[in-house]
Amino acid sequence: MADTVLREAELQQAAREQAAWHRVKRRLSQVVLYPEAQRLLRAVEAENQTPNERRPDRPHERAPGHRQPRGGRREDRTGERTAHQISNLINLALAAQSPEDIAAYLDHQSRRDRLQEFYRPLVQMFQDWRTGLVTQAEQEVRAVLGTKEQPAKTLLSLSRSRFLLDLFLEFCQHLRAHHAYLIATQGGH
Amino acid sequence: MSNELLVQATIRHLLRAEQERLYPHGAKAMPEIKTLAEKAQRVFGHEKGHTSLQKLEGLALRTDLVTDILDFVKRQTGKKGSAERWQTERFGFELVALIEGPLQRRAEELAKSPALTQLPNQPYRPDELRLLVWLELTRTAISHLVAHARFAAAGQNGGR
Repeated sequence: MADTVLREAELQQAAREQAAWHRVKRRLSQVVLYPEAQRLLRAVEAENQTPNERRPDRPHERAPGHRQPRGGRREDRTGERTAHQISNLINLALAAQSPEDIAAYLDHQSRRDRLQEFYRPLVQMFQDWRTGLVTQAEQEVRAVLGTKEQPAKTLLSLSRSRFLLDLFLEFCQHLRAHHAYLIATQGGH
Repeated sequence: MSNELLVQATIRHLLRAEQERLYPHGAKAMPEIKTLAEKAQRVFGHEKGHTSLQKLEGLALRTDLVTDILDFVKRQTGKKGSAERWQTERFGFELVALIEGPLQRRAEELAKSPALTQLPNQPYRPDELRLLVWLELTRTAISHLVAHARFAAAGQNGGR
């Protein structure tokens, strides 16, 4: 009987934590992750822009200093390469068991010559999230639960790893949507 | 009534006064809403069955994130093939612009209303309030757009 009562209390606590996390994630997704996805894609786009494209007045001439990227690198004009990488990231976010899985993949990809523009900022961003954003999320969850005064209290059903994995998946979904939209924008419709 | 429900009720009350702005034929309708409603009729008015525009309405009612709605519109607008109608007359682009522009700005104003901010034991942070109001404004605007498109479709089918 005592076990059942304890179990019931644990379930209620876990439900409260899930609700608190949902609320915090809802805010962070809209206030942090959505604009962050837009910023990243803008940065990748700027990086991918060739010197020729920066001189629309004389498109037949190569701008000073223009050269083919080394190692066979080519600009991602149609966005297909980025779309493919975003698709990979979503699969990764769904399959990852821990933030280390994601960090290792990002680090590995950022060393590949053709993918540096996309992955380098991601590596930095994910590193920042592992300290800053996750701590913020944890504090917000505790504040919603009213456990601000007991920072040492352990959350039953939530962890920093869980926060990070959830946030990364949200971020990737924003990336996919915004990337498709950007390509359509550039389609000249 | 719990504090959360009180906030929802207050937001719905505030939005009642917004109907004239959000309804395309309202006395003070936002010009963007008027334009988009006309486009929705032209672009989606001839569609039969469960259209992608109706899917948008379903999502808007289900989700609690405006960014889910924006992501949906962006994905539809970015699709190739038959879904390219979201690019027709720049419908998808202008819908994103409406949600991210005038509706978001209006939500910021409404979220500062004393009716909301001075509620006792306010359970939400100011930016959460803004997001809640933005979501409700977006839902209402989308419902009106979908209704206009369906009305046009009914007219083209001879009212059947």
